[in-house]
Amino acid sequence: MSILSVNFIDVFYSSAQALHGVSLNLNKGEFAFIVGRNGAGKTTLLKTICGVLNCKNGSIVFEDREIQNLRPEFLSQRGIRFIAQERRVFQSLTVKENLELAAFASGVALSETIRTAIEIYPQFEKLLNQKAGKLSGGQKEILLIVRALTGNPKLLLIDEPTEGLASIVIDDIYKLLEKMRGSVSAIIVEQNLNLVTQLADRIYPMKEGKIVKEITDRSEICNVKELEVYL
Amino acid sequence: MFGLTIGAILYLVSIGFAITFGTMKVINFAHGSIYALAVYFFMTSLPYVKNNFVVSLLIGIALVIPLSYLIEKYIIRYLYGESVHYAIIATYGVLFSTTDTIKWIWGTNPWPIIVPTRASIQLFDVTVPLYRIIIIGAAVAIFIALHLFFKKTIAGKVIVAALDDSVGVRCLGIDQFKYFSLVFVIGSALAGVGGILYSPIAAAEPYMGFRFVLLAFAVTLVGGMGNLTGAFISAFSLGMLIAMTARVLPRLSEMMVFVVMAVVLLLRKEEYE
Repeated sequence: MSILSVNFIDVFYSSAQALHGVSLNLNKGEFAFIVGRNGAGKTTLLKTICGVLNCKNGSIVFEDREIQNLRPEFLSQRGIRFIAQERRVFQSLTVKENLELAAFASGVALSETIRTAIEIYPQFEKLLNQKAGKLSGGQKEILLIVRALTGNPKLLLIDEPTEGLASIVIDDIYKLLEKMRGSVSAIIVEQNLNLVTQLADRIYPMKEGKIVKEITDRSEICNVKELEVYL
Repeated sequence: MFGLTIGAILYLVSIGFAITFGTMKVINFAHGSIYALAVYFFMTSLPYVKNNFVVSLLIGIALVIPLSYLIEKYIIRYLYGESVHYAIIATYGVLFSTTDTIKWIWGTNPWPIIVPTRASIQLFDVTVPLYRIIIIGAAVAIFIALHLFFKKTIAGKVIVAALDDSVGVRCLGIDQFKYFSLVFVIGSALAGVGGILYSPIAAAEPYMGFRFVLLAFAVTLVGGMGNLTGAFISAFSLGMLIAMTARVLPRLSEMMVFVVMAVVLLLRKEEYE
């Protein structure tokens, strides 16, 4: 059952076109990965789905309703959460306060959010009162994912979750994503093909603002060599 | 003591400006309108409340709160995310209109306002007017109150979070503009408090908003965009600078603030680019 379909969207930065008639489809509980070189339009696509950017043409349908060009705060309340590439936690606030804002926005009790966060990443118990800006890159990424998971969202849009992280931390993120499978749908921009091949239900390679093809066949998904062509 | 008094007033006037600039990236020169109007509302209401300073102050603030809300709702809100040039032009327009309205209603002559208390206290060998201590005390109390607001309340935390990552706040599902409005109104009310407290020292005149909004701009830039503690330190430091320069070169006292601002801008060029 489709949860999201993006249909022929065009996105512009001023007069420069960044996305050219991009379409994709995602079923409930699926993980779709977007791969491609820098400047291919991957981040632009995620930002357009979550409402940070507007599209000029085309439509985005989420749970049978058109949502293109709606505001991100509204889409978040409907269950679409975006985790940006730069690992921008609320650095002046503590880990607990970061979770507090997520709990507040979702109408969930803070104690429940903290409990979930510690379940996902036990080290958070000792880090609750630490400024989020002082966390390591991997801890920031996990905090962002935990924050986005608060209130049981339906669709996560995650931009390069493992970029620049050590392999041991990538393992933690892999485990977390693996745990989420089935309970939430996700579109993930990722360059780490090992992670992609292990978790993807479908892959969309992108090039110059276009989706080149849709890969859903398991043997094709696992073919790292073929995927490397797009990076 | 004059330096600390000026510093306290600069803090009260600039804190709203600093918050608006830091969170919404809007340079709001209409802040000067609120500052001036609060003083005129205050002095107009004085005879009706038997010259009760505190009651008139509350009336002045109460009258500028809805005005600042309207400015935020119908002007500032359309400038979020736009180039700062639009904000400067639009809010300067508001400041010009307000100043002309003040001239039209109250005339162009300065209105002297009586100091509410002439009492003074002895601090070591120095006699200090009580009113100035009240002004400094008010600024410190407001600094602590604002600190608690940003540290302890959800509204405050949303604003702090928006300073770090505005998109992140929106993508959590929080309508940050609702909180921006609240903070905008609080900042405007504080500008009104600053204007009213300073009016017995400087008298009311139509262009007072222009003068103080430029000083607030300088305090905000020197303190660091969106840095609320920085604004406090910057306001008192620049207040002391004005007082010290006034002893030697009175005509250059306020100009020194802008010299410091220019130096800070040169040193922190990248931050403001």
